[in-house]
Amino acid sequence: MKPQILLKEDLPLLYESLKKKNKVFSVMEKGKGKCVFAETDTFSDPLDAYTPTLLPPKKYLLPQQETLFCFRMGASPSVEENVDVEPQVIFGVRPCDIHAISLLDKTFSLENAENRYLDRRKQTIIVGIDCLHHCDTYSFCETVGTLDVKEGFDILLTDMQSVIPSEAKESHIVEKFFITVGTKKGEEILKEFGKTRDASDAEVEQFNKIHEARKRAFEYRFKTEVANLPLVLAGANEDVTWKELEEICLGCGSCNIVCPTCYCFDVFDNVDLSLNGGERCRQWDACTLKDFAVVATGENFRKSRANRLRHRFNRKFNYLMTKYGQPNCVGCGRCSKVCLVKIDTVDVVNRLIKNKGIGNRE
Amino acid sequence: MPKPKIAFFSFTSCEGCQLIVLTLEEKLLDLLEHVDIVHFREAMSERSEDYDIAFVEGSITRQSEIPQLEEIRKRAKILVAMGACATTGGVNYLKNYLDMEQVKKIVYKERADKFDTIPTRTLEEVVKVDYRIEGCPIDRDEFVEVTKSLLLGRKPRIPTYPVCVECKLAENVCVFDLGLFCLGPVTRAGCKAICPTYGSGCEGCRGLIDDPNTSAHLNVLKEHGMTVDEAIGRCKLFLGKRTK
Amino acid sequence: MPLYIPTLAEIVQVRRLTALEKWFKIRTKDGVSFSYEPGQFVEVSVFGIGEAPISISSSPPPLNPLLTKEGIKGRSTLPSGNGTFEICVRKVGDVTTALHSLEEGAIVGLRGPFGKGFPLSQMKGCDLLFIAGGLGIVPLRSAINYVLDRRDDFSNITILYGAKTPAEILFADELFGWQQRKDIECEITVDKPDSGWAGKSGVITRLIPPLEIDAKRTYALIVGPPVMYKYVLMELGIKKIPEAQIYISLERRMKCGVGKCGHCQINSVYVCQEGPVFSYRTLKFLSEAI
Repeated sequence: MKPQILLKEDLPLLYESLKKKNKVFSVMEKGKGKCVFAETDTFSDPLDAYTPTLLPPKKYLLPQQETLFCFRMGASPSVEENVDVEPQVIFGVRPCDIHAISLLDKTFSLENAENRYLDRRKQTIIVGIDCLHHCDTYSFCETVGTLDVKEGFDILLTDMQSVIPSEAKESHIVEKFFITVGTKKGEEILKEFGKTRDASDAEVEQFNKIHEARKRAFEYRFKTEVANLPLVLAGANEDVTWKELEEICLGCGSCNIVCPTCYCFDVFDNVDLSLNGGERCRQWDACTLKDFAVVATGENFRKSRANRLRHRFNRKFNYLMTKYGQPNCVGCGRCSKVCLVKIDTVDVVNRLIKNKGIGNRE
Repeated sequence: MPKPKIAFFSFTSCEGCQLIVLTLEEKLLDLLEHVDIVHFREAMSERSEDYDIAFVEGSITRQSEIPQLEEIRKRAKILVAMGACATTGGVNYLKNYLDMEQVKKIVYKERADKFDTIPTRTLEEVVKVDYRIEGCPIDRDEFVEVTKSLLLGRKPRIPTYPVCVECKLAENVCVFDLGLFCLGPVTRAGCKAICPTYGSGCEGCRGLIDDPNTSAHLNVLKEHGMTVDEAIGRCKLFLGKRTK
Repeated sequence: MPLYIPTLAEIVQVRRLTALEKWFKIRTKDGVSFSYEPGQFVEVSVFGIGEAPISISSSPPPLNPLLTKEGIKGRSTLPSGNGTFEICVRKVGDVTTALHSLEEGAIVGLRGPFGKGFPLSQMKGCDLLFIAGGLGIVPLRSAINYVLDRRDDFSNITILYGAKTPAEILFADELFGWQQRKDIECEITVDKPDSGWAGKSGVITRLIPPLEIDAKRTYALIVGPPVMYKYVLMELGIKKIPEAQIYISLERRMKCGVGKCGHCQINSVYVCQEGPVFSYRTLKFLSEAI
């Protein structure tokens, strides 16, 4: 489908039309300029919420806690799969979070594909919203290559305006969205909605110009090319930076919890009060927490906070990056922002680069 | 198999944790399908000295409480310390910063001589404790989890991570950003970050996590404008036993 | 395929081995097929308690029993086939404690087998040195019986086993049986002998120096507590066994078994996928492995 144009005043109508058949989650203000994704009764403008949400929209694809299956206990136990997938829309997802969802898609579809995740993903419509300026000082999307987003959304809205000259009165501004259609589903949504029109050649050109121009607003922040990071990390196991971080890291797990690409989980049985049955659940876990690598006999293979943090950085910029060919970090900056002791992801990576003596970028 | 017999006991405390158990309402009735409660002063008048599991709240602050607790330990197969007073000394621990004679005078004035008091002890400082339910007051769901686990013969699933995890999961705005102070980064979770969720900082009622980075946390408090004395004062309320 | 949903399996036989360990024979229900390799593990569920990764201790039956008649004669138990396998469980956590309370006929949940086992087929024609410390005999027993069932395929076979005390020796009947065999070497040592113990005493590493090893054609298969590896590897280094010919099985908390939950990860490696058996050449580069 050709790119579409939607008048900004019609955005609430799009929201309403999606609500007819789906649960819709959109961005809501939570106070102090912080936002969350929540099920909203009325339209809330995603443009109002520019900084990344407290938790990423991942929570609708990989819930904080979910039932894997139900079981009956006792002499003749039984198991029954628990399916609770319903159509949903995540409305107003930023490029970084769209990239993060694409990474989760890889995790759960390659090697031992997980239907639980994939079924939910199939039932999820992603309405993306493009970023035209830098959201806050913590983010580094341009650095890790997640500012531009080509896939992973059904439709992507880019804020645009055009000035209509008028001889009779003052020229007026038309606020509109340029819509990139990412999937067949996205196309169907817009066809059913019916209030968009094909973008003109001039509008396509304007969109391209906006994209070209916005790059200037985003700086590249690592002191070497991203492609070098696996090497940097692999050679930094004994780097002094980790020792320094051991002193200041609280080991509180916040960086993991707010991360849009973290997916590790714990598994446990929740027995109902009848004591005859229950459910096997999984729950978000965090590799920076003390007990993450403890085995049954009590041995802890990552005892120190520094080793756990090192593991986390390696997952982002070495282990999973080597596997998937791109960082397992989308530069949203949530981890740096929530860190009470100001461990900043960009800063840590740059310290490793500097200590290795391979910094080649300003 | 006969139902396990459960007893509730109370030492120096506000007995609020027992009250939490009563507020379980339907869940309590479901649990009663599997156990017999034989001793629960706050809820019933009958008493029995024959029980398998003892839930004990309160701390030990008088000499006379010691043999009582020892007797409970002797009778119970499993002893569960319930609530901050029992597990960390709780607010009762505040008196340990003072001389006992001084404490008596503050509390009982001219009748001070008539009362016995000793420095506050947690249950674990007197007898062996099998399980702990932290918090002031305890968390309802955690009480249910512990009871269920005891009946199933497994270890209760109680968080070892700090409150920050639950606070982030609750999508709270960090209370430090609201200009408040918080002990959440070093305090054991399990309360679902209830205080930050309702807009106040964590007081540390569930005790410290196993490997708290207290010096880094102190720096956080200082950076947000707390003096060291204020920080220590704050920690004394619940983390007294572990505050240096 | 549902990744996390167990199938049901029956405990068909239980035997107490020591104060802490029990042996279970498990059979899948409803004729569900179950094939595995020595060194792999399963996830066993006791519903309401949880799920735990457990090494398989039996060996898969030979494809052609006629070829291995001799091997089978020397065994105290027959190889497990037809959807059955054996595990040996130490009572250390919730799931293992619950398993210990189960009797014959009890139903458990089963997922797997998972992971990569010992690459025994590439060791054909070579000398094999098995080194097991304590509970390490559990997965290694699978490989040992596999090899003994196919005795002619391998050259010299040496088994070293160390336990803390005589009472803690696992699969004692089988071990003593191996000691009787003329076609293999089997040495048993205990750290703390008691008055009734006539065998060797001292740590297992002491059994290595006297061995005559043709390093080039020897594969070493080692399983034991983490503390054991360092010293055993040192001794094997002295014997000049190439690192690529040393295989070690690692203990980790595989919660999902399918490379998702992250708990068993060592550096970039998911133990549940690429292990639990690794060559020392691979392990050497994993900083948190042993």
